[in-house]
Amino acid sequence: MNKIIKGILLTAVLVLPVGADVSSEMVNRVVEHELENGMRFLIFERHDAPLVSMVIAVRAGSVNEVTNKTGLAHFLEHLAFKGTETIGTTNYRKERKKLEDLDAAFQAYYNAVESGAGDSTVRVLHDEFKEKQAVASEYVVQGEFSNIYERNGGVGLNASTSYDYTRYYITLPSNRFELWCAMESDRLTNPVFRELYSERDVILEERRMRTDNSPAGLFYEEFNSVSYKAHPYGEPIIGHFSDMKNLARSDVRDFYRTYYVPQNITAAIVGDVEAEKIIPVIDEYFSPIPAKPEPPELITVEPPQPGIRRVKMDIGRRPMLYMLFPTVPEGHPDEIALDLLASVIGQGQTSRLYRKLVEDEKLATYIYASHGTRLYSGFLFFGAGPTEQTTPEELEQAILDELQTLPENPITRTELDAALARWEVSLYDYISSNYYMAYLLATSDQGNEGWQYIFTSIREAKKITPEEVMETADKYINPDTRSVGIMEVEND
Amino acid sequence: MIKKVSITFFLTLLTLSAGKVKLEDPREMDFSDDTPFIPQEVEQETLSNGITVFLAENHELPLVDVFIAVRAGEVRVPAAEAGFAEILAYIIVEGGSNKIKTRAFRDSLENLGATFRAEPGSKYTDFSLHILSKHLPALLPLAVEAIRFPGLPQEQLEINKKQYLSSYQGRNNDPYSVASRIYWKLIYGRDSPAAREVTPSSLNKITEESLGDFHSANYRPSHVIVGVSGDFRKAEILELLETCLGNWEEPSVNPDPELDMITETAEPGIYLVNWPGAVQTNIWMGYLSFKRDDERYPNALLFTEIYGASRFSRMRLVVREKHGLAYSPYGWVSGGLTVPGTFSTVVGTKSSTTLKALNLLNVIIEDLRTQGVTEEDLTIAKESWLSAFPAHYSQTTKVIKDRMLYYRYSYPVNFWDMLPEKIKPLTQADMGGFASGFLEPSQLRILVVGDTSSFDGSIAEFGAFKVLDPSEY
Repeated sequence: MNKIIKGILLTAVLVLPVGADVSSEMVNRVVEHELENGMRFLIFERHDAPLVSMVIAVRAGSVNEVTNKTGLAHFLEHLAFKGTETIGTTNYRKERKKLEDLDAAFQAYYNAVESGAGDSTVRVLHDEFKEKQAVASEYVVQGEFSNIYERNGGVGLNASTSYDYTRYYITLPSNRFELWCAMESDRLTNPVFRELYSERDVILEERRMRTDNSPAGLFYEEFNSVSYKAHPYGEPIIGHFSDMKNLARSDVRDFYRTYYVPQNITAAIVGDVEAEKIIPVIDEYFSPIPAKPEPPELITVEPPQPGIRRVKMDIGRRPMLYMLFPTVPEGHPDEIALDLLASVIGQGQTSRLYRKLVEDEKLATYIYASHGTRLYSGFLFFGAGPTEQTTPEELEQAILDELQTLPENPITRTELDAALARWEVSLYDYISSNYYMAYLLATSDQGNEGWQYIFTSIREAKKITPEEVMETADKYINPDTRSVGIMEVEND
Repeated sequence: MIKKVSITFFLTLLTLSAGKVKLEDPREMDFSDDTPFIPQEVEQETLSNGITVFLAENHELPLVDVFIAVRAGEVRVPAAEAGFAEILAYIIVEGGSNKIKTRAFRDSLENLGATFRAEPGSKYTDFSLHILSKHLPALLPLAVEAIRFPGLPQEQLEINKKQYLSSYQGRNNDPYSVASRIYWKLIYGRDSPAAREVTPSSLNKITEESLGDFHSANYRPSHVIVGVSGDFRKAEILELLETCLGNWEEPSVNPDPELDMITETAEPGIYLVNWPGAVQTNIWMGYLSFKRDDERYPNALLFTEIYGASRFSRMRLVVREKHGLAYSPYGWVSGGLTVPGTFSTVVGTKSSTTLKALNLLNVIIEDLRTQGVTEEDLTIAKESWLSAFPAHYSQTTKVIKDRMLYYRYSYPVNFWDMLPEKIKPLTQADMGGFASGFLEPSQLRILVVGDTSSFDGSIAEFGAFKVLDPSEY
């Protein structure tokens, strides 16, 4: 045993009983490393191929946005690929001044439009803005940040923004690990949000593609918005069109300075690396990032739902039904029982709802249930497609009827064991992929439960009885506090 | 036990002032210590009846994947009966065998966490069984039984038909789906097994009996290839496969003939679908390319990086980064395995920049055609492709699937492994020659789906166009 690993074991924190099962072995293979500034690293060695996947999870998502600024977290995610003070520019010192001029020109133009200034004034200010944009672009080395990764064999270079997190990921040949350290430490410390105005246009195209030009996207956005009264989970992650048009570089910078603080960030590294060798490299690149104040806590709490919320749209060609019951945030003691409940009643072709509504009564062409948890709340969700002979309302009632048979027809041990078996395979599926493993480790480390939950949850699930699952069903499936979305076929 | 590392344990000497991270410049890092990558070895075996088996062990996790490919795809089904091969595949995995049908069959699998899936393709139907390794002896025979002796329950057939009808009902739901459906019909033909749809009319022709006839003729050992990856032992799996599959005899009936994959190709030109109210226009354009064994295929791989599939591609840098016209512009030259692939371009842009985007695409193509690629294009494309090569084999399942893919179409099983040596010597002149010879703007089939009343001009600026009705495609 080398001295580094000995050191790791000597300073180990025992939080779990070590078992003989695979998940215990996996827990033991994760090396945890925390810097003085609070940034955390999780390392998992796998030497099958000379590749390493890295995922950086930042505990900052659309829930951290405020009115007028929706879409900000996602906007920052896009702009984080535009480079730094050295990458993506020919001369940042000069470029910086041009960016300030550009922002002032945009603000003047924007204010003129908003205040209803005359056409000629708006035209002049628009031309001025365009001119400043052209000047600033002269300093840009377009795509340099991404190009460095790609020419080094980077695959899967991307990022995503959710309600709670923003994640940055890439897989590289493992001998390029230091390149990732250099790139990401620079991006976390010295980002320059250049090309902001053209990137905003790109994001608006993304919004058109995912939402405005897609009946399913529009339907989901509407359904989500009625499911929350107060909490920012009801706002679209990509943002409202009007807010996006208004976001300024200073907004992005403020959000970055507030939430992209080391203690809000975990990086997971999974693949063909040796923890012993890479930890000094990590220290060298990421330790200089200064510690910063804790970001503000989200105060808004979704109040108890007083009644049924409903949205109905006729914009598509394919009827759909969504239904949601509020549940619990991640880390709540009822979370696992709710996960099992969703699996038994609505996952797979052996689930109760599939057998009853697709096979026996032929009311649906598909149906599924899931239990989703986020940092601040969760939901038991049902999605279904009615057959031609069924209306969405009839299908909604049929689901409710089936759910109400649970007390007379309680969940059995056999059903629960089947759900656990599926859970186990699904867990191994995630673990088997460097990328997914890194994704889970980084995200859950910033979550309410900690990364160990990935592996320990199944052991906790095995302790749950059918009676406990029934108790959660009784507690959370309340037809009077559901949200319902119905998409009907558009009339020609 | 968690290995928690003391934050002081690896404390290193820091030479920078706090907050200013800039150690080595990533642009100057040298990684010339790359060692040649050799993919995981795959063993090839043969069962007593001639079925080829590929094996690759990996014991990290207690999982096994069994892949069974059957050369019984839609290519053996006339267009009027489209859906035969697809529905048969789904009924096999959902309806079970003639011994253990539907619910008992699915209980046996799902209760043990197993998934048994079908991926029907034009030429092959691919089945995969994904299970905990301890259940292999019990569940592999069950899955194979369903493939060899499907139960074909009438009730399951009716459910599958309803699902197809529902999909058909929603086929004109959004502009993107419509554009993608029509595009492939313009390129490969409306009746091509690679482009056609299952329709209410073709569904009506599908019965238990006709499915049984199709199965009897086309599911046969000479059409089967097997691959296994994961936590198994070679001797044990070969014995199990021999028991399950080795006694499968070739039927006396002849297989259905394979029909043409390319039934017709639309004339070059502009095809327009007017979609009032659409806020984004979908542009798809392209034409047929060549097969993967064409000597130009390595050029095509690099060209794809340079043209439209990478973050440094012309399409990305010009259409997205510079002009902000699209979120995910994409373009590629593919090499088909048995028939020509395509040169294709896909862009979604707001209605008011439709013509601007089309113009830019034309400029990009024309520039590559007449000017070729730059030295920098070539360098970055080569570096990117070659250094990403190991990612093609990042998991054992990927190695197995790759070997099965090339074997099934009579390519060398290590076809992909030979590409780096073909790509390394390519020069700027080679790439320029490829671009000038291959790119033919006059051959483009350009499909535009959007709200013409909001376009930034008339599509007629690009020449004569034909208006299409999506209900006819």
